[in-house]
Formats: sequence, C-alpha cells, structure tokens
Amino acid sequence: MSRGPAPRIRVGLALACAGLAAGCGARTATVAVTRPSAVTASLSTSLTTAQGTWAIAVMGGSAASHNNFWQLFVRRANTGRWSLVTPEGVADNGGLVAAGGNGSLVVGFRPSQELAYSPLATSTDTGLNWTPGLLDAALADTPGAIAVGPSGRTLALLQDGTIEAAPTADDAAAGQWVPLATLKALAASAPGRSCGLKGMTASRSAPIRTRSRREAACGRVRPGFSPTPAGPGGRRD
Amino acid sequence: MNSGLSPSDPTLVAAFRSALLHQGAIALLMFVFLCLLWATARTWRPAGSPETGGATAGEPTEARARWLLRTGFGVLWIFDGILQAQPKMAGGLATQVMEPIAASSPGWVQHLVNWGGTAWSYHPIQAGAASVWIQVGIGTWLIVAVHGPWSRLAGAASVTWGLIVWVFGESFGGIFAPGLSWLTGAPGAVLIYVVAGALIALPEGAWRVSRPGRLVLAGLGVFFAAMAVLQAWPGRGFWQGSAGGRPGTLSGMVTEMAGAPQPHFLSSLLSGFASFATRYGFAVNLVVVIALAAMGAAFLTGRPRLVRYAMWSGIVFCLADWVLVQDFGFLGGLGTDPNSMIPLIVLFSAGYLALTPAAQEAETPARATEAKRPRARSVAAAGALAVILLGAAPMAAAAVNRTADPILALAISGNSTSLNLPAPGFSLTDQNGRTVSLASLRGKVVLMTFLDPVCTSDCPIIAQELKQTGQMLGAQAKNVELVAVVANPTYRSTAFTRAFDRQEGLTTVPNWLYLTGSLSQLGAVWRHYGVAVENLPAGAMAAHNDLAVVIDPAGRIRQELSSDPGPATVSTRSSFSVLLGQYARQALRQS
Repeated sequence: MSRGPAPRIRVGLALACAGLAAGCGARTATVAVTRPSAVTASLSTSLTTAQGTWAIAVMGGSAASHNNFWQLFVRRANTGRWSLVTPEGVADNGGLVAAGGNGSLVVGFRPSQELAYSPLATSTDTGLNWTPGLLDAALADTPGAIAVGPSGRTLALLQDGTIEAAPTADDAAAGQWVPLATLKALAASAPGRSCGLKGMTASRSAPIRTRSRREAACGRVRPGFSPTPAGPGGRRD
Repeated sequence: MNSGLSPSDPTLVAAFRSALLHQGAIALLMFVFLCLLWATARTWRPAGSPETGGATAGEPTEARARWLLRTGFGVLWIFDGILQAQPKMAGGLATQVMEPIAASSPGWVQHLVNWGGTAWSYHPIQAGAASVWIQVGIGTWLIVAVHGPWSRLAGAASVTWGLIVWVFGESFGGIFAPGLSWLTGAPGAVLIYVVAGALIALPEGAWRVSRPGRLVLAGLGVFFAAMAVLQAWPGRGFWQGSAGGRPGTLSGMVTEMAGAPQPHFLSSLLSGFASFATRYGFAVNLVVVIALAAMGAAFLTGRPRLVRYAMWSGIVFCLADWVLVQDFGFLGGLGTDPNSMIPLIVLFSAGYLALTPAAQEAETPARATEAKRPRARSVAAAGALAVILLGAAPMAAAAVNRTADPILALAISGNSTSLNLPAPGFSLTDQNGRTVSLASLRGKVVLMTFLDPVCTSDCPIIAQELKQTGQMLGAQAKNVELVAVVANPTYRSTAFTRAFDRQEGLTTVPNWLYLTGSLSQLGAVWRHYGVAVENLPAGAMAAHNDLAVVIDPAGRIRQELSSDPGPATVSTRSSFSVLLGQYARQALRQS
C-alpha cells in the first residue's frame, strides 16, 4: 500500500538505520532489536507498491553460494496471482535488490564472479517489460541497497559505503550517478562520531524530517522501529 | 596451479605421446651412434685391452652393497620413468597428484608446490617428457656406470632429482601433514632414493669396511623406532578399527586405495584387508608397532645375525604392507612410483650387505678401483647423461618462456579452422561513440570476438586474454586491432561497453574496440558471423557461443576458433593469448 506524499516532503537521505544501529550497538539493547535480521539470513525480501506486491527469493540453497540464483515475483494488484518477472539478460547469482517508487520498480543485480558492477532494470508495468540501467559500481550486499524517491531520484548504497544518486530514472539508465555521501564523511560527522558509525546497510529516499533523521542516525529509535521501511513509493514487509 | 584440463584430454595425450616418440627416436639414434663409436674403438684397439673394457679381466670388484643400491635404484628410476610415460601424466600430474598431496600440508608447502605445479601446467608436454627421460636417464646411468667418478656422479644426480621430486611431487613426503604413517609411505619414497643416491656418491673405498653399513642400519634403526612411536601415538586413529561407525585411519586409507582403478582381485584383496583392519584395528596396529620397534632395535644393535633376521622379516613385512596397504603404489594411471616399501627393502638389504663385506671386497686395492675404468661404461654413462639432457633441455627452454604452451588452448577449443573467406562487413559504434566499420580497419589484422558486457563468467576472461595477446605482440600490436562485438540483446548501450572496459582495465589499451549498435545492426553481425545470441529465462545470462575470428589486413577471415576459456586457469588464459598471438602474426605474414 503506498502512502501519499506528506505536505512537507523533502527527499532526503535516510541513513542506514540498521547500519548505524550496528555502529551504536553497544549503547542500548533497543538498537540490537532493530538490526535487520534478513541481511544475515538471506537477501530475500518483499515490498509492496501501488502495482502489487513483490517478492525476491533466493533459489538453490545457501545465500552465499554462487550457484544460487534469485528470482523476482509479483502479485499484481488486479489479479492476486504470483508471476515470475525476473528481468532477463543478466545472471543474478550475486543477488537481486529492488526498490519501488514513482510507479516503477527498480531492480539491481549484485555483482558476482567476474562481474564487478551492478546492472539495473526498471519496469513501469509490473515486470512485463524492463528497461536496462547501469550503476558502474557494486551494490551493497543488503536488501535496502537501492531506494527510489517520488520524483524518480534513485539512491544506491555501494559496497564501499558510498551512497550515489541518479537524479532521474533516465540518468540511472544511462549510468549517470553522482556520489552523495560516503561512509567516511558520515562517520566524521557529529552524529556519526557520537555513535561510532561503523557501517551502513540501507539507503532510503524518503520524506523525512531533520529531527527524525538524527534520531535514526544515533540509534535512539523506539523499540520496534523497522530499519528498512520504504518511502512513499512503498512499504517493506 | 593446474591447467584445469582433463588428464585424459585427447589433444594433450596425443601431443605427449608424440613428444615421447620424437625424443625416443633421438635417444635411439644416440644409442646407435654410441654403439658405432664403441665398435669403431674396438676395431682400433687390440682385443682384451683393459682400457677398451672388451674383457672384464681387469675390472675391480664392486662392493655388494653398492652394487645392490646402484642396480636396485637404477631399476627403480627406470621403472618410475616408464610410469611417467603413462598417457594421463602430462595433463594430470599437477592436478591429480601434486595438488591433492599438498592439500593437507601447511600453506607454505602448498604455495611452493603450487609454484611447481604452475610451471608444469604451463608446459605439460615438455614437463611430462622431461620427467620420463630424466628418470630413465638417471636409472640407466646408475646401472651402466659401475665405478669411478661417473658412477658417483650418477649418485649425485639421483640425489638432486630425488630432492626435486620429493619437494614438488611428494610435498616433502607429507611430513608436514597430519596422518603421517610408515604404512602409507612416510617420509616419502623418493627420500629413500635420495639417501641411496648419497650412498652411491660416496668414495668406493668407503665400502670396503663395515662402517657405511653400520651407519645405514643405525639410521634405519632410529627411523623404524621413530615410526613405531608415531604409529603407537594415541589419538591418531590407528588403534581404532572404526570410530563412530566410520572406518578407522588405517582401514579408511585401505578402503580408499581399494577404490582406485585396478584389477578386481586386487581391489577385493584390499577390501578384505580393510574389513579385517576395521574389525581388528587394535591388533593390527599392535603388530605394526611391535614389528617396527623390533626391526628398529635389531638394526640399531648392528649385530649381523640379528640384522639378518630383521632384514628377512622386514622384507616379508614390507612386502605385505606394499600389497595390502600401499596397493603397489603405481596403479590407477597416475602412479609415479612403487611407493616406499621396495626402495626401503633395497636400502636395508644394502645396509646388511655393507655390514658384512665379502672377503674379496676388503682386499680390492682402492687404487685399482680408481685406475682401471672400463671406457665402454663411461661411454654408456655419457649416453645416459645425454638422455637426461634430451628431456631436460626442451623443458628448460620452455621454462624460460613465461607464457603457457598453446597446446592447452587447442585442447580446450579444439583445432581451429583455417579459412580464407571474405569477412562480412559491419558498421557499429565503439565505446567512445565513434562509428567503426570493418572497412575502416583494413590494413590491420583484426582479432574479433563477441562479448556480453554484463557477463559474469567467460567474457571478462576472454577480454583479458585478448588484452594479454596485445601485450605479447609487442611492437606488432600496432598492426592488430582487438575487437569485441556486444553479445547481449538488452544490455548493449555504450554505457555498458564503457563500464565493461573500466572493469577489465581496457580503457588504456589503444587498439581495443568494443562495438555495439542497434539490435538490428548487432543481429546482422551475429548472424553473419554465426553467433547465436538470446536472452534466457529469469536469472540466467544472455546465451551466446564463444567465438573468435582472425581477419587478415585484406579483410579475409583466416582463422575461426572457439574462444571458450574452459577452466580459465592462469595457464589456459596464457595459452589462449599465445595462440591468438600466433594467429595474428600468421595473418600479418599472409598479408
């Protein structure tokens, strides 16, 4: 179920709640609760957009194996049946990540074996057709590695902790990404220093207030806070 | 370290056989030449002259112990050389013998052995043939050189080659690995060859007294005693026939040996012994420990009578182990030697003979031994040395070359097809957005292949092979264009070709072109060059056949080959680059 844009929307960068929590884990027990268990177990995930519900499943056994392959399924809102819609043309043994927003779904292929960067695929028709895109870097090994804002701005969390942004879907398709933040810079910031930032596990493009951002950054989140909620484009389950 | 190819690969086997035949023919010619030389020398000198060796009248008596060591290990080296000529050896020694043996050793041993294995896998044919002729040569040398410096040199050669084999072929006999046991060949069969070689290299006069015998037996006594302690050491699994429903250490080893390819009656025999060892594991190990300790003690006393008993019982014991545990050591197509028991029997028997030198050995004047060297044997020894060089020289020459032999690429891709056809034209866009047509490349050799920019397996490897080809070509590279055409119907924009170039470090390669175009443009090129490209169902790479063509400066296809990189090991990558480089040079000459 998508939520409508809030009145005072500002597309911002929500810093890796869970990743920050990992950095601040020693401080409170609450933070440990917010750690995204899905990351350690499997990259399988699901999300809901206006078009339907999406699920990514890892097939073949352990998530760590290159012999696995990942599949994207969709249950379209109007049919209620699950369909296999994994984008074609790229081996997905490294894993799939997905983010919904602005009426589209962006899928990122994690690098595997000899492939060092992350091809993307975007669909605006619930996976019937896909447009190729390019991120000339390796997506992080986390379900929240991609985020799409309501304007189509796409964020990508890279393996090295950098967050890159593509202003539009076309830019994402053409591989026009610009660095937005780095782990080093965030760790050097006041909130980063105060909680001993060690890593990031998700990016998020969402309407978010400055205050709540700081709360997340410092890990002082209330119990039960979901670490990887999607923005207006969708909600992660 | 390995080539990744099957040891039975027909291309490798045929090339190995061919190399052996060629070198064997040369060895035969050398033998005939030496025979003629000898016959000529005999004609010129009066019959019976001690210098000609035509009669044995003046030949000094060799100590029995030395004779046994020399002929025994000579025969063993020749046998090992023959084993090295087995068809699977060239392609399989590194992967099936060296690597598995080293696997349980510490990292530094694996590193060292891997270095040797890589050297072997770069030139498997030359290395395989070299091993054959070096071992046959050393064996022959040991047998024919009875006296004098030639004979002692043969011993030294045995030491040198034995150490090389012990380090690289046997991973130091497994002495740094767990599970070390005398029963299975510790501390490495070839180390016994080394000891024997060192004894042969001693001055012949040393054998006229019993001291070498005492030293050999004392050394063996300590060795057997140490092996008894090791065998008795608790916690190594030898005292248990089975543990937790699984075979114990010894029965497990024997069961594994029984699974090797061999005649049925032998595997049945081993299986039977494995069952026996499983049932009576403690008793079997007790017998082994007692036997080793008793032999060790007897050898340490140095008393001839005790040593004689220990020798005969040791022969029986070693033969039993050779059959029942070591499974003869050389079966299965990749056995390199008969393992440790036969060399050990020869060694302690020689020790016993040296302990009790015959009366005539003690009376032989040392000067006579040195002075009366039959020249025939020297000539024969020189012939044996030539056989060693016959094998070693091609390997040494190959080893100087830091690139792999193209035979590996040929084994993977099959023989390439020589053609002389006009190359279908195309007009596509390179990674920088410029239009490139085949016509615009006229005057240069074009090495062309088809690569998927988002490929996770073969394509990046093929790109690296092409890049390495360009480097190998040196100054000639300016006359060669390395061209790849996109082979993915979806991910085909220049953004992807550029990303691929960055990934593979191709952005600075001046003669590299990665071409793409519209689907219809690419489809036409794929069709004309016989490349089938299609998207496969979810989760799979786009499928395409790996193909490379060599187009000469006049625009004609000269070679067509599969560019499937196969196992993509360091050696096969290098091999493909060498092969493509050869074809490029060939095409340049043809223009």
